[in-house]
Amino acid sequence: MNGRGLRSPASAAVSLIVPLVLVALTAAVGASGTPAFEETVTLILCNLIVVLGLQVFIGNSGVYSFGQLGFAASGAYVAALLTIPAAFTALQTPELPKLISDAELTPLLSTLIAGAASGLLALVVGWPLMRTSTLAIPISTFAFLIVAYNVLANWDEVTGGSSGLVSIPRTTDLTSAALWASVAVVVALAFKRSASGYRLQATREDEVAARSIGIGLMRERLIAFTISGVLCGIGGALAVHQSGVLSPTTFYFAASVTTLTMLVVGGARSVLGAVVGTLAVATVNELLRNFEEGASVLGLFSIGETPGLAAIGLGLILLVAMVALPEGLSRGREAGEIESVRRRLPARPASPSPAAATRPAGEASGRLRAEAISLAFSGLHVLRGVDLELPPGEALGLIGPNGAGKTTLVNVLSGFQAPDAGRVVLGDVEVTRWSPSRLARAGLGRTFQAALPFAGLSVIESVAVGAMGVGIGRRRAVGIAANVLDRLGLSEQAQRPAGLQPPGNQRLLGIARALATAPRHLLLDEPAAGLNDEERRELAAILRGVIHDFGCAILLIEHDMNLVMDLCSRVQVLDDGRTVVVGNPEEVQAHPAVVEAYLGTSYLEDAHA
Amino acid sequence: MLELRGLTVGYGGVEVLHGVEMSVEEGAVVGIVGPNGAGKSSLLRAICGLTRSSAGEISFEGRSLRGLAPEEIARLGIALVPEGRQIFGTLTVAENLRLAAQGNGSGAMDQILERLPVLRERAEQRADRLSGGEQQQLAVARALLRKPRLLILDEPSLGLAPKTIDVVYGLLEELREEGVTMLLVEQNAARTIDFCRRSLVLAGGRVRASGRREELQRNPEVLRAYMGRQL
Amino acid sequence: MTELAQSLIDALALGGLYALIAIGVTLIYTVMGMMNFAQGEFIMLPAYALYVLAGVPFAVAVGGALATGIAIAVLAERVAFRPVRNADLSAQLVTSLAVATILQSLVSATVDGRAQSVATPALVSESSQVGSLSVPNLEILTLALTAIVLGGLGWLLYRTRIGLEMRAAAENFEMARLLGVRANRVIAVAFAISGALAATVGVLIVMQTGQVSPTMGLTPVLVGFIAVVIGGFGRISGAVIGGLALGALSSLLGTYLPDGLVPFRDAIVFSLPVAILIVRPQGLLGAASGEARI
Repeated sequence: MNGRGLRSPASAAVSLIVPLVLVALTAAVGASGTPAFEETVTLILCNLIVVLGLQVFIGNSGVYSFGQLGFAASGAYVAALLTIPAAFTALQTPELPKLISDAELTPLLSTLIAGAASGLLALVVGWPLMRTSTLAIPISTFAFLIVAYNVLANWDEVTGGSSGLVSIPRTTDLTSAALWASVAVVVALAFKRSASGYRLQATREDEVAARSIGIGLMRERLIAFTISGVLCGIGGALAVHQSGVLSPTTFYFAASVTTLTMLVVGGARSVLGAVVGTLAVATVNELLRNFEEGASVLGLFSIGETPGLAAIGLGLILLVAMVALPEGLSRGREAGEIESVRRRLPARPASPSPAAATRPAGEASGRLRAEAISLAFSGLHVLRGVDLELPPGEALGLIGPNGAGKTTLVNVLSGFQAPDAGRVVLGDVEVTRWSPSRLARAGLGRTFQAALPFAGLSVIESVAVGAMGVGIGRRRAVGIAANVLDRLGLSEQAQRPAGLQPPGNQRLLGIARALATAPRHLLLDEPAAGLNDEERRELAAILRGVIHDFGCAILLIEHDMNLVMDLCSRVQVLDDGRTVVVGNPEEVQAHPAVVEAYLGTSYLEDAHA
Repeated sequence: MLELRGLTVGYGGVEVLHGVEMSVEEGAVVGIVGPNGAGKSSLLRAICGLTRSSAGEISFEGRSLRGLAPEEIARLGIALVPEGRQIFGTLTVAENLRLAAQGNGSGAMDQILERLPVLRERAEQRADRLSGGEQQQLAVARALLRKPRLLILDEPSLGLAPKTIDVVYGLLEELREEGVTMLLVEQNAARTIDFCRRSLVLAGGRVRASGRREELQRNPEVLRAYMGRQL
Repeated sequence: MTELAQSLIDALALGGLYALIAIGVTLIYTVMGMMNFAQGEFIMLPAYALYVLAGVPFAVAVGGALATGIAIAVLAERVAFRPVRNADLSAQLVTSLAVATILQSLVSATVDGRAQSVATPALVSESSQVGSLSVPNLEILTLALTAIVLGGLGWLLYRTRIGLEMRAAAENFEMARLLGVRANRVIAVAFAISGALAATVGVLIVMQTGQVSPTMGLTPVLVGFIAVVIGGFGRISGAVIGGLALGALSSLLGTYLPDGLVPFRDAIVFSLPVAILIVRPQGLLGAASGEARI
């Protein structure tokens, strides 16, 4: 088993230590001031936990949820009701079940229960919401926030209604806030670097490519949404045990905007960003609040009382951040990923792992077959009754002029488009309506005409997530990825960002990613586009090796005749949605109909010259 | 009229055009052929302002086109008939045309409808009900209504039946005789080279061959660009 | 029977109001692909114009409100949204949130954070006899305005040059630009109309509640979003249907809900559309391909 992780141990350590140090420093600063200052800092640390909750979902999925503070609210209310002395609970919330009403739990227990309850709520709410489209999630989570507010503000007998709750024991001090914040940092980082975290990030980078490697969009989002709910619940619980009072508006629109601003300004993609953003925005917020009461700036001029200045300032900061600094102060990177740190710690080449991509027995293998596939859209017949057969271990070239239907056929084979007629069969199972991720998990991999890189991930992460997508655990995935990178000659680039790779490498990365899913059938869409002669020869050699070592069948869409002739034992020609001829490369190349399809009649004579 | 010097276009880290040089004189009909992925569409998109070029110069009637918005380039007199036609399906045929006519007077529209009677028949129908060939005629009519100085056509024969292609090319022939300056991009090399007085062969983002009709029709470079080394 | 008819008219009137909000949101969505969080503030600021222009004849004040709505929408587009026009949708959404926050806080800071009352003409709170029914004038006004807006919008979109350009841009912005359609102009017009619609809604809300508050735009904008989403993104017809459906639901619940549940009316109204989304992610009228249509 290959012990090397996706990042060097030193980089991982730095990524963890820096945010923790920042938390500790914040606590130290807080302890050194007045009691009022200490309380403010404590609250900032509670805020941080909520922001980290936001980061877990928003940062990793790339989808904005406006409802997370609903979970902070639920956590706060649960924790409050569990700790308010029984006499007071009876007064404020007469219809609360006696079990809860009488409870006077320790801060720790109430916080844990609050976290669990919020997590459960997130799971229940997220189940339907994560099924909605990417654009609808911000709206439906916003609706959840308002619904939560509505319920909390109107269910007087249980929640105290719009007057809220008082007499909450003030048990959160600076130390406990700092400790919980540290735990939250660890949780957020651990999730980000877990297989589930990687799969979710893949959906953020490129949804289509993520589906092609077996990732289930809804599932991964729900996992992150739930963890986010837990963290927000804990943050809310701790906050309310600091201030001692709670009302429905505490965790509503203003707080949503504030925490979102903190995340965006710091950089949503990294835990470091969440920490830095929270501290930066909180500082500015406090400064502006001071000005609200009127202050003199550098002794030069005075500002009178301006309530709401802080809120305006916050809005302006958010606006400027979106326009000028969309990736935030941290540029979306963790502490250990800063170029200088990375360069000092070169990646050591992996030792080839014997446990290369092997597929569990009993998986649908055998030949891939398309029967009489027809597909039309917008009145155009793109495919008309096309058959295709890909036996195990074979390399089939698919050629034809632009618009012939080659990519569409591959889309049908890989589940991205449903045919109007015909079927797709894998082994002896009909798979026509299977989703791309299901097909990937059954051993069908593909690449795309555009490389679709996971630009925000490193090269090795991009490939490892391919293995994780089909359910392979993180450790093994790393080994497989290192192996595949070695084979493709990309090992030296392992730690570099995938988005910055030159075009030839990005195409290879697409292939590597598909290979990491341990495919039995690999569909390649114009892998040689943009490659020069030498790169093309290397690609041909790599692909030949793949067929030989992995026992994988390959379908190759190409316009580059040289590559097709080099690699394929059979070639199928499509024109205008129909198969023109299927045969070995030499016959096909000289076939009059083929020459005509590409070039037109007057070149026919020369084909035979 | 149109001059390209050292045009280089790349996106997402991939370079699709490397130092392309080309010129189109007034009244000329120039063809661009080459296999898919050669960069033909990228070339047109760069000219029309849809894609930024990373290096090189594009000038039209002496004026640089770099950095101009697509609508500004269109107003300078360049009209594109794009790949896949891209007519507005939810608008009627007449509305598609009216959009292009832009107050050039209904006279121009009447003329076009005279010329293409099938469009006049279907004037009030939604454009997405037209057949492929009819849509292509609509797309060309739309471009013509702008009274363009330069007409650019991106794969006009794509997805059309041979007979329909003949009809479309019949229209293009008339335009050629009228002296409309045209830039024609096609994958079908023979037809294009035959139609245009001058053509370029683009492959791998570079110009591999260029010349007059007769020169190219027997040039092995063309075959090689498409069919690989075997030939 | 009359009670049913009464409820139906109430439902229609509220539906009309929600439809107006939804259309405003959709217009911007079709030309920019962005869900505009600040639409609530486009509603709130004109309402405050009414408050500020208190002593002035009401008709003039309404004119002022309209002007405010249009001005703030066009200004927001120019200053805040144009720089992020090519950014991804999440960025645009958060930008609109920032604009909303700024506008809301500005009002809180300069006027007051609490609700203020606004005097409206007595006529508005009275009712008229329509057959055997007594219908509040405000509802008649709302229905009339909705009809006028729908008619006016139809005229604009289908009989004017700019409307043609907007429809073309909504279907294929790039192609429209290739035909010489000016992107900036189309977008500015969409925002201006959206602002005018929002102002109308704001005035209607003031006439209904007699109050303005800085957060008064929050629920309406959510209503607008949800109506757009259940109607199917990017179609004005969908926005209208969505708005009518939501309004009718809200109104009917208000009439027929058992007393204990009345405070939770909003919660129920906003939860149900989500159920639609789960069953039909593209909304009731949405095209599966997600193509934007007017």
